[in-house]
Amino acid sequence: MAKKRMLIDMSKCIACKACQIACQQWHQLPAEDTSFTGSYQNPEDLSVANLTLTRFSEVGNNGDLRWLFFVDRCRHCEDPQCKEACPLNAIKVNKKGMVFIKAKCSPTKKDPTDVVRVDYCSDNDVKPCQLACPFKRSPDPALGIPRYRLNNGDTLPDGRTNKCDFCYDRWTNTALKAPPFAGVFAKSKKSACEIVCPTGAIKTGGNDKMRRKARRRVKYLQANGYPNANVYPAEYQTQVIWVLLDEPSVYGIVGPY
Amino acid sequence: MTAWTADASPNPLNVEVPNKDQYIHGLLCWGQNPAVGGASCDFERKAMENLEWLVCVDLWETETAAFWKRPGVDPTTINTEVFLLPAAASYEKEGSIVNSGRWSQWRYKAIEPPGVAADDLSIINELGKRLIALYQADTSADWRLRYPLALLWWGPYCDPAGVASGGTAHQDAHGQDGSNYDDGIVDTRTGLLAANPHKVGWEINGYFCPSAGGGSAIGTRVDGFWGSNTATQTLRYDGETSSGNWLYCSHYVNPGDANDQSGYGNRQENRGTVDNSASGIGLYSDWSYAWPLNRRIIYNGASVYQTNHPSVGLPLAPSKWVIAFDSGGTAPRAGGDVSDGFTPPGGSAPRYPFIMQREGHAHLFGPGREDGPFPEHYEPWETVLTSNPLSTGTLTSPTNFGHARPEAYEHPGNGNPDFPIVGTTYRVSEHWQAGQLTRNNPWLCQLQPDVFVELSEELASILGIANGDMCELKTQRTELYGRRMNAVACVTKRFKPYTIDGSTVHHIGAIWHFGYEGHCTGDSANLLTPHIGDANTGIPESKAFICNIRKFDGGSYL
Repeated sequence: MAKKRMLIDMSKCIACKACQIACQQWHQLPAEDTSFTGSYQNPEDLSVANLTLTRFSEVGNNGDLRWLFFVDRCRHCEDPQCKEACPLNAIKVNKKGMVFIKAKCSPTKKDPTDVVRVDYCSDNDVKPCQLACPFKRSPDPALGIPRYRLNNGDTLPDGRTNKCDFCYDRWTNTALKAPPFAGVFAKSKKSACEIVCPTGAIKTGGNDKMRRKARRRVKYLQANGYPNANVYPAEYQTQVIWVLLDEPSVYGIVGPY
Repeated sequence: MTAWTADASPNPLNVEVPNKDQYIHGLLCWGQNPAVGGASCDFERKAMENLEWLVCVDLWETETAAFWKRPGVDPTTINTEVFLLPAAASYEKEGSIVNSGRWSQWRYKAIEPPGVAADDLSIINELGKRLIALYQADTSADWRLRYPLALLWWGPYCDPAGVASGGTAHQDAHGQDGSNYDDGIVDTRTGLLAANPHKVGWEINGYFCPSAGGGSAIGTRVDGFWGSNTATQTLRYDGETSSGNWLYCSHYVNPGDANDQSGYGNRQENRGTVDNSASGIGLYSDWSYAWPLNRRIIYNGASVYQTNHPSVGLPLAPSKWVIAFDSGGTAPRAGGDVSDGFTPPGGSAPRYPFIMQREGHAHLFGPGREDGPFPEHYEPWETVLTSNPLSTGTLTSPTNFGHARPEAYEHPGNGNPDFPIVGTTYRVSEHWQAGQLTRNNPWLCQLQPDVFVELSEELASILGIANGDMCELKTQRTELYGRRMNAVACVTKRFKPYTIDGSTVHHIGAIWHFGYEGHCTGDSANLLTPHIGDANTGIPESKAFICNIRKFDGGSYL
């Protein structure tokens, strides 16, 4: 099975947050209680209930002002460090290259004799997968992409850690390939965020095809007023890639690129 | 309308009209939420206190339905009787929806509504039937008030013969019962008669109701609106036909019509996905129905040469023609749109294509506008300026549409130093209009949980407001009704002070989706907006007013 790649084109994103809601719907995740803190960005950060998040930043000023959006989520590394770190072998990479955390991560499903889990996961405030993730946003090691807390510090009833799973269970869901979905909604077996994106900023497809598409778009943007447009990550190998209008550091993106 | 607006005007019905202040006894509020969405919404909430009764038909208890227990009022002082009728959402009922491209598209019911929630049509049907019965029974009422309802035909097909003879058969030419909107079937879930939206379609489309055997059989549906008094298919002007709306003649035609895919005449259900235009311009005329006459591009006669041109009838852009007439403008070419406004030579007197304009030409600005035939810059009703820098004329439009109650738009005085800031209101993608549909959804509340006000870094610095601070806003309305607006500050580079006529003017903007009901609550920015309307459309001028802002609890105003 050929690998699948997701391209998120930030030059097409209007920051409507439809992807956030579609993700919560498909994964049956609860809404968080939030408050407006001075930015359209809400919730404030990724969490176990918000596996994707539109980050807002105002860069420049006056005639040079840009309102930049970055749809943040798991990069689906080709060589996922979180998978290596998981003591329960709960993180899996399927043949399409999608990295996901299996339900056996949940402490409510643990085997009481499973000393490894008790030692390394349930009792630790920072999970090994979070520590291993190279995309931590701050010195706080708990802020790697995988999360097991909500923004208010609570956990979900099953206590599991979660992150974007590429909707791998939609791609392999035979029901979505059958009537009434098949043919009517040709894209329904793809990722939930791609289906709802009103501007087509999120696209999935073959590994090389998506990479070529991203390069073509960057070339176009560079020739049309965005000289710093780039494909992110440029060298670090991931199944999710972005088209950015400026350098990753301008967006506040940390980690390898 | 005359009786509503002018006490001194002649009263054509010679019926005593009460004082206009007490004239409106009740309000039917159908999926609307004026307590949040109306301009000067606190004025509207107070006005509702004068109602004897209020019926809200909605999915949730809205701010309007709960106006009598809103923050700051004593419910025991309000005598309005409020009815809240549970409604079906759009995907819980069948019917049509029209878009701004004039397509009337049919929607099907996906799921049953919850509980006893009913579709609007069944509620209206029940209301209409009961009103008719009341007016028929009350023989003491003035006949001029009583007859319009007591004699109202409540069903798609008029049948004078049936009424006069006490007959019961009101079937149309296809054997369908036209004597009611509900087929007499009670929905056991709601206990209401289940109204049939197709019958409303028949009535809006129009049909024959011959009084003396002329024309077609009773109930035969018309398929167009231009006709003569001998027409057998289109509307007639001799009273032999009836139509709810001439623009929709041919949207619900007779079964077997060549343009119908449904099999029973409902062209709104057409779902042809092939572009049927010969020039490939994407007409898709077999998808749904576009009023009038399934015409996809109105005034398309403007795309061809007119009568006085040697190429009369030929398209100005041959590669993307909309309509075309060959052979000197006499032979319509197949594969085009339904022609509109082109007069073939030799027939009736030629007209220019824009047939609904007196001169037959399109207008950007011109005769018919309330505020004059020529473009002029007017400041909004409220402005920080005291003279019009772009014109020596009037500062604000003299033809703005005012409310019947002057206190609803009491003017603070242009350039009033109490309100030195320009305010505007707007929406966000996470919430819909007055918020009933989105503020009751925890997921959408999560994305945009509070009402906020955006202001520049420069203004925030002057007033000591930090990003995320709670602020207090005031306008002439909040001072009149005693309820200022609270909102969280969003200090942003996207707002900038600007210079008008040498002076620095600050500008703020707030969202208005919020209210005191639902999952997430807050003040509507319509607490701030004036009750004044655009001169031509009457649309509330909620996009510009003068105001002031300070940090809540301790800050000072500009």
